[in-house]
Amino acid sequence: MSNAGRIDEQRVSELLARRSEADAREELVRACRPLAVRLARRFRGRGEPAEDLVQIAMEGLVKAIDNFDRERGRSLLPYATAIIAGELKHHFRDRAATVRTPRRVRARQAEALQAIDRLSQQLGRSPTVAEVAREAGLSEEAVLEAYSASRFASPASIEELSAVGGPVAVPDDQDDYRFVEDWMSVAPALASLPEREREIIYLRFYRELNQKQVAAALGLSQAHVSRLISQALRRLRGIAVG
Amino acid sequence: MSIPKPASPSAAAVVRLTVPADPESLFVVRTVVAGIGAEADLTIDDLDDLSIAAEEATLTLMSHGGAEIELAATTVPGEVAITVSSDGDASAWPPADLASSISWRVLTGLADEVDLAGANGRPGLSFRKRSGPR
Repeated sequence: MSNAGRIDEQRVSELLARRSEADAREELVRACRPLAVRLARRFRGRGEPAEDLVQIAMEGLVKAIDNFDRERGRSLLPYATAIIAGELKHHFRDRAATVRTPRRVRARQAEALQAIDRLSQQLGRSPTVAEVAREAGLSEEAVLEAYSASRFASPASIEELSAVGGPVAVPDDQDDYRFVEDWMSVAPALASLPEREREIIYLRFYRELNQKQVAAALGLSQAHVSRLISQALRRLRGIAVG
Repeated sequence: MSIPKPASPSAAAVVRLTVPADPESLFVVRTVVAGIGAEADLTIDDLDDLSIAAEEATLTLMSHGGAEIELAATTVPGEVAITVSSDGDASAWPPADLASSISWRVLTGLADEVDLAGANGRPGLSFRKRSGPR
């Protein structure tokens, strides 16, 4: 891991005083480049080529150098850091800046989950986080969040799903979407269920299999599945209320 | 059904995460911190700043040696305070060149109130992120 590149603050300050001269400005941009490169690296893995990110960061740096107001007595580097990070963030989301997180995160979870289903069908295997991020136009973080909320089902049960021919429901209308939201909100409670009940709840209510399909997927009788579902729901309601 | 809210808005939640001092851990750090920030109701922009700052703090401590990095986060609505520390050599902390490193520039540029004093006799960095006006 490299922490390569240092910035000579003294030199930056001297160059800043002469930034109207073309060669001083050019040298100033060069001197601060490691900061731009470093910030660009922090945005990697979101489906954007590294050189494009560096390009965006460098544009931010030039903007910071041009707009910096020396009279305010601050140093250029914290200002430039904020501007460069701002340009990078802006590039990824131009309308999300004022949206509070939780609602947006949930919306992204629905998008990520749809993308996981689409890609699974296209690729014939489980997609990587990076692939889902690209497909859904989301950050890997958003995808990982969706993943952690939805990983209550073991990989085996997903394979068994296709074996029983159960259609994998994609939440696309308003009701389904709201159901996904609710499901996300009980996810912490789900984690406290015994594994078998958790799996059944997932298959029945999230994957929207009927009881017969759930029973077939897990090799249980339908009556048994029915009992386990009522038991799990009682438990979940208890947790949600208590 | 909904996630129960904390008893009072001022109740601070503490999250601790220990990871191997290995660059592979950065993804975990970033993801967990983003989740913590989301819980604290930070905007997406602030979430990014927070997780970038946490990544840089973690990188800084990794380059200082040690086998494990611990991250401790305290949240109240609109604010997250994070301390990242390691089991590395406390006597050599903070390194003389820290304040001129790129990591330090990024950290101080994106987080509020960065402190390099360490934690409980361990090498460490603390910082906060508050939600800006919305």
